Amino acid sequence: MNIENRVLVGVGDIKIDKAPAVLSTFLGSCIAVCLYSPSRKVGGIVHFLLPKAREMQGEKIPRKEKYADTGIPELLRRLKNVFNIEKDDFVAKMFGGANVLKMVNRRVGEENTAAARAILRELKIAVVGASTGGERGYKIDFDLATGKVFCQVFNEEVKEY
Amino acid sequence: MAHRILIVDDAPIIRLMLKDILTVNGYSVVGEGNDGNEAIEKFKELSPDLVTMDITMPEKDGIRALQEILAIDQNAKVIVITAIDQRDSLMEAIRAGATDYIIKPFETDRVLSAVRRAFGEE
Amino acid sequence: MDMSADGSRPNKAVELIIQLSVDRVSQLLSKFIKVGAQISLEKAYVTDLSEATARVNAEDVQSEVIGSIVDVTGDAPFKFLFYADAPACLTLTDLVLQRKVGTSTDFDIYVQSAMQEIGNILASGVCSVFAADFNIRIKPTPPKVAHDFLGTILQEFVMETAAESDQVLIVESRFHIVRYNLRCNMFILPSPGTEGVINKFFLDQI
Repeated sequence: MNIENRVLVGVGDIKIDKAPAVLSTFLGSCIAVCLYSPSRKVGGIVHFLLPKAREMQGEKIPRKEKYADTGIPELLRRLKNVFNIEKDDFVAKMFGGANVLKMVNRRVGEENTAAARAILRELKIAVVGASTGGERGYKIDFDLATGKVFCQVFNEEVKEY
Repeated sequence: MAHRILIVDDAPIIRLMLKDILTVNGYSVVGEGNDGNEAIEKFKELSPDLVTMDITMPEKDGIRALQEILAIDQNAKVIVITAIDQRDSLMEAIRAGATDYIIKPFETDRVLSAVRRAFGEE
Repeated sequence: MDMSADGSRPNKAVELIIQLSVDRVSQLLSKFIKVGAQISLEKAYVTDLSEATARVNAEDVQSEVIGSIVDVTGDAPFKFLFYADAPACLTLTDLVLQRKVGTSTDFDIYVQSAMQEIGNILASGVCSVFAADFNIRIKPTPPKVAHDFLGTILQEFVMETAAESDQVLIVESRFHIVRYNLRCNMFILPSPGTEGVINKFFLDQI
């Protein structure tokens, strides 16, 4: 994996690319859903914040990338459009959803994890790797040459998914 | 016998700093509390001569704990030690019955002078 | 103060309150650790939080930090973050406790607590500026502290605000404790609408 090809994905953003790019991001209670086409060696990450886009009338609605229900379909749409992929040959991996600030009232990380799984199920995309939950942050490097995700939970060894 | 003091603050480092200042100067720290609920429990259990009370704490804040302590013992001595340096906040604490009000970050002398004054030693 | 970093400028009232707040924070930090803390960076800019978080992470990819996040509630709510890299937090703890620098070697409860209390004192200082100079009533809630990747702490810090709005005002400051060559960082992230409130209170004062 060549770090020089690293593209950082910010909070509430989508990045798509092709091999040899490496997409990287950091997570707490947010979730990164990584979609990958093994046949085309292209993929992308949506780093979403919350399960559901709020209905806002008369206000400027924040970008689709920020929510699971709008962000995951948007990632799939962009990958299909930009790389002209007709067939749905994507697999998914997902990471994050930690309770870093040890919140007791609302566990956003757990809500995000459940939302991502439900939406991927609706889209009929198989989840082939995941590491979610806990109370520590995640750093992930998604290598588009292989589809492998190198995931490090804070203070732990890097694991391959 | 040394005056008995209960320290209430959600930050262990502030409790440690206050404990050092007070014990070195001859006071006895009989207990520590992490929030307003613990303050009340420990006040009932230990009957300290004085309480130092932070305002911004989880669960129950220091002003509510101060009011409840005074409801248990109207002569209780409670010094509020807080980072909130605002007139409204000071007035709220004084109205609630605080003996004195110290702003964090504090100097050793300021803590000692407030405690001594509370005990009529100054 | 650099107000033109990568976006449009905040209004005059907000510029003034930010400048007063950062000065106050620097004074309080110096007083708490009993060593001078200089302001080495002070900028306020309107930015896209996705881009801003990617940029900060790109500058410091591997960084392990302890951060203290404070939610300030009231008339003009904002979020406050103070963080420093892990070795700097050990030194800050020794300075707060007036111990020989090098005494703290483990990330024990006192290191977490030192950062918690620095967050509390500095955020309370900003609240005092809002109250004293602008008559705006706000107060801090207890800080939440985490020892983690910088990227993770930043994500937790911005997430609520980013979920509400794409383009936001952010205040970024760095402090340099020259004597120990320590660097620590502060961000203030006003909730959407807070700028307007500050401006209104400012106009009421003049």
